[in-house]
Amino acid sequence: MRDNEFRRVLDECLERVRNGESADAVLQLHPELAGRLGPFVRAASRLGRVDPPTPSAAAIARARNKLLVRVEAGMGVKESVMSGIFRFANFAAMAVGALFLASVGIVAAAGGGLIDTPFDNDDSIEFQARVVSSSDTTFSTTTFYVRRGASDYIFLRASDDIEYEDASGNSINRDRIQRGDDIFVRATHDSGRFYDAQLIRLSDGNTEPTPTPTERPEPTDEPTLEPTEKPEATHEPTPAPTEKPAPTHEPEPTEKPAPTHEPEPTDKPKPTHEPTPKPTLTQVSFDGIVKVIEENVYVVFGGYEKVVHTNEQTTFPNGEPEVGDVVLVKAYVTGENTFLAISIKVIFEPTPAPQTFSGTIVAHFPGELTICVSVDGYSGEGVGLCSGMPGAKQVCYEFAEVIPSVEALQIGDTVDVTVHRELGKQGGTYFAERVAVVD
Amino acid sequence: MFMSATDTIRLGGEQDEEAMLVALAQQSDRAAWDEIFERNYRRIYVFVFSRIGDEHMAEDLAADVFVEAWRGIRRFEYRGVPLISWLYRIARNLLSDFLKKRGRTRTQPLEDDGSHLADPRDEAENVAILQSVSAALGKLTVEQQQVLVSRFIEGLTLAETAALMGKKDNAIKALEFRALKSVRRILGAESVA
Repeated sequence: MRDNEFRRVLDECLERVRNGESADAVLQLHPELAGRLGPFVRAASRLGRVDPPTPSAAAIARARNKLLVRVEAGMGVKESVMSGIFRFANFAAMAVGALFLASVGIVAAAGGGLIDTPFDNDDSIEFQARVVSSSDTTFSTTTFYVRRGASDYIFLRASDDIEYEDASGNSINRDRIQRGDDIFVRATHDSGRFYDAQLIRLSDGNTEPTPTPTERPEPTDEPTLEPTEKPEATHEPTPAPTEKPAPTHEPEPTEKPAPTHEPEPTDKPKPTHEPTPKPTLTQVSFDGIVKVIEENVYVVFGGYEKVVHTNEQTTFPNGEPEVGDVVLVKAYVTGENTFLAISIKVIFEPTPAPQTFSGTIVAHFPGELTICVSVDGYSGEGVGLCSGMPGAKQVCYEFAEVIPSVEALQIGDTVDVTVHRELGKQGGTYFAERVAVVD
Repeated sequence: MFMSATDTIRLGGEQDEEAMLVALAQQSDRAAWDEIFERNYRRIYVFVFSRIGDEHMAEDLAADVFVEAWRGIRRFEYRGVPLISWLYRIARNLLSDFLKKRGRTRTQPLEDDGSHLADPRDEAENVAILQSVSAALGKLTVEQQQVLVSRFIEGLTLAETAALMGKKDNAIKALEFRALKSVRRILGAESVA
C-alpha cells in the first residue's frame, strides 16, 4: 500500500478514535493494516482516555483574580513606560477606568448626602460624597475611597483626563482633592463598589488649597515618571508632605527631614558619612512587582526587571516587602537596570481572602479605630500607628464587626482578626472584617 | 464585552480581533485580559493537566500561565499566530520548571486518583495511562503536544484544531502524524497495547 493510502486510512481510524470508538473496534475494520495502524491508533486511544476534570468555579475565579489584580496594579507601570508608544485615541479612553487599588488608604470621615441621580441619557450618575482616603497619586490613575450617605463606601477611580473643578467650576489640579473634602461626583458604575469618575467638583466649604510651590515647596517624595536629577542637597527643613491642614488649623510646622540618604554601592564595605550627596547621581521612582528577594537585593518587575539594592539607609515605609507585593521604589541609578533604593514602599499586597490571624493587642487608638496586634511568628516592622512595635500588625476595625464590642478591646486581650475580603491589606494596614476578643 | 469597547475600530476578522486584543492587553486593559482569560483558561488548564495529572496543581499552573503572559505581553509581537500558541509555549516553560522542581523533591510523579479518567474502575491502569501520556507528551514539541491535546483529549475536529493553531488542515494532519509516531516510539508498541 502506498503511503498516501495508508495515511488516508490512518486519518479515518484516528477520527473514529477521536469520536470515541475503541482501538480494537477500529483496527478490526482494517485487519490487513492492523500491524501498521495499531501503534498509532492505540496511542491516540490512550490519549483519548485522559479525561481532564473541569476546574471548579472557585479555581477559575481565583485564577482570574490572580491575573486581573496584577493587570490593575500594574496599570501605572505600563502607562508610564508606554506613554507615547500606544497613544491611540480609542485606547486612551479605555485606559481611563484602570484601577489602582494600591493607592487607596483609608481613614474615617464624616459623610455627605447620597443623591445618585441619572445624568443625561447615558449611564452616568451624580452624587455627593466625602473623600475618606488620601490616595497616593501614582501615574495617571488615582482611586479615591469615598463615602456616600451614612455608610455607603465606594471606590472612585479617576484619571488625569477627567474634569476636576473647584466649587466655582474652575478647573483645578487633581492634587486639590484631599482627604475630608466634600465633593460632587459624576461617574459611571463599573462593578461592585467601583465607579469611574467623569467629573469631581469640590463642594462649597472645603478648605483652601495648599500654598503654591512658591510659598511652600512641593513634597519631594512624589513619584516621578522620568528620571530626574537629584536636587542639590540642602539642610533646610522640608515641609510635611501629605497632610492637608484642617480649616481651623494653622499650617503644620515643618519638620526636619530625615538624614540625607547617601547612596552607597552595596558591595562597598563601609558607608561614608559625607553630608553632601554626589550631584551627578540620578534619582528615579518606579513601581512594580517584587519577584525575588535575596538578602539586600530585590528584583522588581515593572515592564522589565530592575535589580534594586538596599543598604542600611534604605527605608521601608510600609514594612518590608514580600515576593508578590507591588512596591513603589525611590532609588538612585547605579547602572543599567540596577538601582540603590532610597525607599521601597509596599503599595499593594495581594491578599487571598479570607485571611485570619490571632494575636495580642499591644496598643489601641480608639480615635483612629485601630489596634496593634502582636502576632507570634510575624517579624515585620510595625507601621503607622504601630511604628516601633516590631511584630505588630496594624489593624483598622472601622469596617469590622467587633465582638463583643469596641469598648471591650483592651491591651493584653487576645483577638482573632479576619481580614476584610474586599479591602484586604493596604499600605501595611490590615482592614478587618471581624475582630473577636478571645475569652 | 471586548468588542463593545472597541467598536469604533472596524475589524476584519479573527486575526484582526486578536491583534486588537493583544494591543489592548499590552496597555494593561482589564477587559482585554478578562477576555483573553475567558477564551483560553480552560484550554490551557487541559494542556497542563494532561502533562501533570494533578487537577489542583494544574489549576495553579494554568493561572500562572496568564500571569506570565501579562508579564511578557509587551515583548509579544502579534504576527497572525493565534495567541493560544504563545500561551502554550509559556505553559510548556512553566511545566518544564515545575517538573524539574518536582523531580527534585518527589519520586512519585503523579498523585492522581484516576477519577478523571474514562474508566474509574481500574485506578492503577488509569494512573498508568496518565503517567505514560504525560511522559510522552513531555518529549514532544509544543506544537505536537498542542495538536494531540486538542485532537484527542479536548476532542476538537481537524478544522477546529487548524483554526485554533492558525494552520491549514494538512499541516495539522502532518503534525498529528509525526506526534503520534513519536508517542508510539516513546511508549513502545507494547505499552500502548
